[in-house]
Amino acid sequence: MSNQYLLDANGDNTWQFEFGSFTVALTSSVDNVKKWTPFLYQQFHKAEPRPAFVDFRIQIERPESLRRWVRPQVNFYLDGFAPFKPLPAQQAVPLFEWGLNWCIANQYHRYLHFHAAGVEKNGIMVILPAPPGSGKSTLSAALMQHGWRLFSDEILMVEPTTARAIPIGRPVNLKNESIDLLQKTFPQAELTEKFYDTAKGVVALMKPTAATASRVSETAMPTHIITPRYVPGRTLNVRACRKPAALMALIGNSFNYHILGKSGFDTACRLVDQCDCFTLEYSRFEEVFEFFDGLCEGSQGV
Amino acid sequence: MVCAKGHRVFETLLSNPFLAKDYSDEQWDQAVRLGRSANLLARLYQLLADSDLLKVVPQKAHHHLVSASLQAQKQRMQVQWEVKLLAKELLSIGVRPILLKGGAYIYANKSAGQGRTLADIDVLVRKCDLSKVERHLKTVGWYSDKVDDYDQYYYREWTHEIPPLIHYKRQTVLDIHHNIFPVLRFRIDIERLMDKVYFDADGVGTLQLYDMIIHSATHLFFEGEFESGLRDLSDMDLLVRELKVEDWLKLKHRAQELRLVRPLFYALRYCRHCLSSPVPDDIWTARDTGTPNALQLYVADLLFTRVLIPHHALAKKPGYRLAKFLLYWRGHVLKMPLSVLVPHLLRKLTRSIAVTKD
Repeated sequence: MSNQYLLDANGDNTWQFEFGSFTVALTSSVDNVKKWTPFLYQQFHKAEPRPAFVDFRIQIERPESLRRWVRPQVNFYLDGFAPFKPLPAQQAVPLFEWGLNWCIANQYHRYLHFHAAGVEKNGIMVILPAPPGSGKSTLSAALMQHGWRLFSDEILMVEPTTARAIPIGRPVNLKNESIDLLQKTFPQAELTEKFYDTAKGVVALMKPTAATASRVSETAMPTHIITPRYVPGRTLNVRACRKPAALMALIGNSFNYHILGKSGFDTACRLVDQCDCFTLEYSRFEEVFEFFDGLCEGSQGV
Repeated sequence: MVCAKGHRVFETLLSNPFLAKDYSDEQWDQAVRLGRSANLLARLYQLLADSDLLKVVPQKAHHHLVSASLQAQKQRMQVQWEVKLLAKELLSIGVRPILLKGGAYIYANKSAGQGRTLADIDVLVRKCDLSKVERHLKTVGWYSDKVDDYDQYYYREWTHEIPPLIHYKRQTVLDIHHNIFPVLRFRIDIERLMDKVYFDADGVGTLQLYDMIIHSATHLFFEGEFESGLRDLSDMDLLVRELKVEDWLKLKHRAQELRLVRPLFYALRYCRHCLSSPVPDDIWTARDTGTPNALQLYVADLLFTRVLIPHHALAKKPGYRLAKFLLYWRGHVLKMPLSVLVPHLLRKLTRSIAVTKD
């Protein structure tokens, strides 16, 4: 017993978060993490009572080597185990985000995970499956600022028995040009500083809106599957997508479909059956908002 | 044992799954962490399921057990499929593969194959078939990523296996052996082992139960690394639980015949110590040769009980690092005479310096 809370003995360097479905404990003495974690995660922070069961214990710390001091690096540890190579210390904050994504995608198979964003408003719950670079983070960040509730910008979780989507509502990972674009379009959006030279270029994290964070325990039944693609200069182009193609898009963007086996297949089929499926090409937020708000019109709100 | 704390939290559940009923949320938190680090979460799931105890597991811990079990089941199917393909390939050149360890437990449907995960499939073939097997597999999609000349030389000259083969598409790793232990120090009479192999209709061989136990024991207690030590003990625990009362003496006699008494002695001792395996008290007598003397046993207990644990901060006792260090060197010395070991280590050292300079 004495060992278990050893990490907390330092007091202020550990944060416990409740994300509705799971509990995360983050420990770090890295300055950048100490600076930005309260800003990004305050709404999920749970100080007392300390949960007896923690799903993921994560440490972001400098390695015990020369690289602690010379061109400093940081390591990601899941309960003492380092699954990745260290990164430059400047990237400590995005490293936590990526590492936590890895934990969920690799270790937690209670849900079927899709490489997809998810947003919800008035009972309309849209899954946005897409490979990296399609602009789903940018799109879901914009929709969140426009009043939609964010489920995730990266890993959308669906419970196999009910086919309901499970929110995580963590910070949105914005990359390169989309950082300035979103800050300019939505002056109220709260962003971290920019982290340069990461594997994905320049990265900044957007804090979830209050509506997103406060309803992180409320699941929703998906109603639409929309595969987005950002095409510069393109006017909005929405096309109905045939169900078999939508199924393949879902499966092709799943992290653990192969592990869930038949229940994964059944869940994906059920989602496609119950959802309206579209592909969407866009370049302007206003047109996208008009389309998405149109989906909500006439809905009862659940 | 009932109020298990700290370092015994996980082993206690493996020994007696019924104690799960009394576990607090905090104990579950520790058990899941320890089980994950020992690669035994899926095993625990299976033991609880076998005794219809999953319902007593708190929901949060249950999710982690299920996750591990799903991954293990996926791997189980992969192993069965991969063995089928391998057997077909080798049959075409007239060779019948013998599976060892995890792959064999899964293929032979042993309880030690339940919730078992593995990094590679271990296969044994006769030494005279080895180069034929390697050549053929390399024409059907398997390659070796040990391209360094010295690595190749080291494997072929001083070990009992060839460099691991990887399938280019499925990324499965095959470890092909021609013996169960590096051939330098002991002459393990591999023919005696192969004589008793059981081949099924598909031409896939597995060792007899006794030999599975003795092989796993030899592997664990002659090696220098114990990262999977507790997992291997748990395998042996489940294997020995399949023995009937009259089988114990046969197991001992088989180890004597193969001259592998010492590793079996240690395996049974620590299975009983760590996992309460039902090993009879009177299996060894004073007249049995090959068993350790009192001093050797004292030292062995000091060392092995420190490393046959989940390698997690919660489970490490004082002296862990020293025990690990000493056993690492013991493993090397057992494998190679100093006349081979010293040049090998010098070679490794100079190479690591050369790499650092880059």
